[in-house]
Order: sequence, then structure tokens, then C-alpha cells
Amino acid sequence: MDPSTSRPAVVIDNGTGYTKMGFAGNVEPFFNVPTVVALNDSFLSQPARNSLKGSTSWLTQHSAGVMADLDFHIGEDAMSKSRSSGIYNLTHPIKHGQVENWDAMERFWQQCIYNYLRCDPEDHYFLLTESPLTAPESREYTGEIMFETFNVPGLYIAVQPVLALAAGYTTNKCEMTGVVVDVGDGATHVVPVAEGYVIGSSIKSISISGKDVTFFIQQLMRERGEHINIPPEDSLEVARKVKETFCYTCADIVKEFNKHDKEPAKYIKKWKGIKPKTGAPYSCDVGYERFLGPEVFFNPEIYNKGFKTPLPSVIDKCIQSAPIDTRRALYKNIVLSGGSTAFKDFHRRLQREVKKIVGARVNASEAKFNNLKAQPVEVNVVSHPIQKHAVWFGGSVLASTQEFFAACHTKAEYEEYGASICRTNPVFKGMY
Amino acid sequence: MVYHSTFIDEEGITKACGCPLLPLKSHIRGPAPVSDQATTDIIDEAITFFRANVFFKNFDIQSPADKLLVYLTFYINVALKRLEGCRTLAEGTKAVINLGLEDVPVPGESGFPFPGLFPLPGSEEEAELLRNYLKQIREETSGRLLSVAYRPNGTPNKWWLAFAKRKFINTIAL
Repeated sequence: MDPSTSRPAVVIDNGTGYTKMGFAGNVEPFFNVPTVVALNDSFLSQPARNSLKGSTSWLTQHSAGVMADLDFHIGEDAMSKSRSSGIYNLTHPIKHGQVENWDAMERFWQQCIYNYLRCDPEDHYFLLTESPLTAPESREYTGEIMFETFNVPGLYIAVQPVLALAAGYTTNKCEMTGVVVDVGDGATHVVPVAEGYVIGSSIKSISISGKDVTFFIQQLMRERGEHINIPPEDSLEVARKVKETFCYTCADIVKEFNKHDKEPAKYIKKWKGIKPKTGAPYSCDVGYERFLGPEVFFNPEIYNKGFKTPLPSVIDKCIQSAPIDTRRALYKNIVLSGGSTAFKDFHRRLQREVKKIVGARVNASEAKFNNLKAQPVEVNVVSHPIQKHAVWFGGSVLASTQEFFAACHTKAEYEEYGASICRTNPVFKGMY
Repeated sequence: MVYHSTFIDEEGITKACGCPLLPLKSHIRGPAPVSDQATTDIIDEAITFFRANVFFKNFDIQSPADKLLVYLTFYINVALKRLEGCRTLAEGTKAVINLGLEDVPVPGESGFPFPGLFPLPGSEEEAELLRNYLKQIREETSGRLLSVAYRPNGTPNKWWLAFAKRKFINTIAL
């Protein structure tokens, strides 16, 4: 019997901002680390530049060369090391949901498996995730790295929105039809899934994501003059932490401004931090950006990126482009996933806005044919406490089923047919 | 979406260059009709909506009062820029009075911020009427703005002055 099927599979969800990793069968990932690699490239400098030093440079080069491959860090370690010593360069291997730097990605996985999860990759099946609009070549590279470098017995590359839907299995119904609104740090996708198969032609992505909210908050704080307190190299980090700690979604911007004016003590919060170089504490006020940050999704114009369509309209357009018989079911099950949907009351505001758009259209069509009364369309935005890592949880659920091992690409297949077996994805098979 | 004016009812309002001369709760002399002290007038609306509307680059005009709202929002933005360097209420008042003494352009003249927002004046009197109305409304707006932009003890209120750095509108959709 194959021992690796009796051990839990490893589930790694690589996102642009954070990577969630752990073993199947658990509710939460073991680790949630930023997707960043700090590489030490100093040993790569050419000998010609150090020719004045002569033989000593050859020795340092040689000794650096032996250990150089292992001299890198990922996650929080990477960020703190790069700040304290200057020899490390930070790279983000994943941009906008796609892997750009395969070398760094391979090292990232190396650290994940050996240092964080501390398991032998030959003993476990692997479940990795990918963005819905990834090219098949990317899956091929992933497969190559996994099978060649790590020698895994089996690999399954899942599409993130389907896993997010599977996360909804914990409630009493298990719906495999719904629209997944995945708002991550690097990319936002609206993906309709019908009966477990992704409707590829209706996938819509928008260029506003968690990173843009962070930039916007940083901009607002700078305009108000808060930046004189914050050390400049930390200002983006501070904006990110402010976003994660204090932001909420409001119902109406003008009313929210008035609420802030009337009760400043209740709404204006203080952010306290410590300057890394001197250790001195500092604090700054956090006010309007608490609700203006998440507002970027509903009124993208305020962020001035050139993108104007609010998220509720994108969801509506996406559902309208799906086959007509699936639309009611899609409206009934709009699932949120991703860290940037975790703002307080985000789902309520989204539901209200989508209902408005749908209601306006139903009224317009009723007015045209005045004796026909349409059945009301039920709009439901589902949110649950595991939204932030719904994708990881869905992966964990999927990898705990028996059918999972049969659906994986195995090492034997890889050796027989080559890396191109990873190009296909069972989820898209329903289209052909 | 931008916030629009509620003064859509045009009965009994005289117009100059397509701009309704809405009543103001003003003590300053000028062509504006006097409004009830208890109701909100167009200036109150402009100040309330300013912090939200200033973020937007496109404004769809739904009524002639909206045109006046756009003009006022732009004027508040300009006034806040003048107040940026002023550390006390006294300095701010001086800056704002200087702003009021400058020439007030009407549609058709080169200094008017939104060419195409209002139709050109039909006659000299219409242009003068609009100029006086704009002067009055600008002075009144500056006064009310000072009371919001500065705290009761005279120091600047950073929550309002932050908006001096925002640029209102690149285009208007009519």
C-alpha cells in the first residue's frame, strides 16, 4: 500500500500577499506568512571588481559559494532580516496572482516544506492553488518543480474560487453553484462556478485589490501630515496594519463624516508604533481612512487609478454574462473570500448594492411589459468567519476526501508523460 | 457616486447664465434672495458634501443647482489651498479676505474655472448680476468655511486642511 496516501496531504495556498500552509484535515493553516523571499546575492559580485583585494576575495567567494544557496529567508523573517542587515534583497515572487520569479518561488517552497512544515515531501501528496486566469505553462512549471526538485508522489493544482466554494460545506447546505468574489492582496477576481465547473468566459477581474487600499490609506495619512511621525521606510507597513486593524465599511460617506465630527473621541483612533532604528515610540491619528479605505471597492474613482466600475456592478455584469439558467442560483450564492473582504459589514454593503442594481433592472423590465410581474430575484452575499483563508480551508476539505488521491497527477504519470500532464485541470474539463 | 444638490425645484428662482440664484442665509448685501435661517441653503450643502465630492473626478449634472454646487466645491478647494500656510484663525481670515478681493470671473471670461459649465451671458446686466451673486456667495462660503476649518481655540483643523491637497474634478459630464 502506498504509505503517502495514508498520511495527510500538504495544502499550500500561495497568494500575492500571504501564503497559507498546513496539512489537510485541519480547520486552519499552520502558517500564514507573507509571500516574500529575502535573497543574499552579495556572493554573485564579479571577481573583477575585487581584483584589488587579490587572494582574500577568492576565499570569501569560495566559502560564500558553498553555503550561498541556503542563505535566504522567507516570510516575516525575511522582512526583519532585510531591515536589519543590508545584504538581503527582498523579492515578491508572485505578482497579481501569477508567479513571476520561478527561482525565488522554488526557494520559497523549499523553506516552506523543510523549515516551516518540517515534513518530507516524498511522503505526502501536495495540493497547491492557482489563480483562475493562469496560463497552462505556469502549471507545467509548478509540476516540474514539485516532481523534480521535491520528488512528491502526487500533485493537485486547484483553482482558488472552487476551493472557496467548497469552504461553504461547513454550513448545512453544500452549494457548488455560486459566484466567488476573491479579493486578495494582488488581484480581485469574480468567478462564477456552476455545479463545480468554472464558467471560464464569464470570469471578470478588476485591478483594485488590497494593495491599492493600503496605498490609498498611506496617501490619505500623508495628506493630513501624519507621516512626520512615522519613519518613512515603515509607512507602507503602518498603512497596512492600520487597514487590518481599524477599517470598516460604512453605509454612506457623508453620514460617516458627520458621525466623525459629532463624536471624534469614539471614531478617531490612535496608532502606536515603535521606531525601529531608535526604539522611540510614536503615535498618529487614524480617522477618515477607516471608512474611506474599503470605500475604494464601491467607488473606485476616489482612488484615481483610472478604473471606474464599482465591485457590485462587476459582479452583476459577470452574472449577466453567465448562462441564463444559472443566474438565479448565482445571485443566491455570492461567496466572499480573501483577506480584503474581511472588513466589517463588507458583505452587507455589497448585498445592498447588488440588490439595488438587480431591483432597478427588474423594475425597468416590469415597466416595459406592464402586465407581467417577475418573480423577485433573491440576492444573497454569504460570509463566514473563515473568509480570510476560505481557499486554504476548502483545499483542506478536498484533500481529506478519498477521491482526492485519485484526482492527483502522480509521479508515475509524470515520469511517463512529462510535465505537460499538469496543464489540464479537471475543473475546466466540464467546458468541453 | 457624487452627492447631488436637493434644490431641484426651480419655481420662482431667477436665473443668470443658466445659474439659479438660490436663496442664501446671508448677512452680506447682494442679489441673492434671503432664505430662512433654519433651513439648509446651497452653501451648507456644498460644505457638507465637500469632503466626499472632492475625491471624484467625474460629476454628472442632474439639475442647474448641481452646477452651482460644482462651482462652490471648486471654490472651497481653492480657499483651503490658501489656508494651508495659515497657522491661526487671524491669518486665515486675512488670506480669505484677500481671496475675496480678487476678480470674480464669469462664464466667457478667461479665468472662469469650468468653461462650458454655464452658457455665455446674454447681456452686460446678466453678466454683472451673476458676478455680484458669485461674489456674495463666495464671501459667505469663506466665512462658514473658516468656522469649520479652524477649531474654537484658533488652531487649524487638520481633518479639513488635509483636503487642500486633493484636486477636484478633471471632467464634468453634462
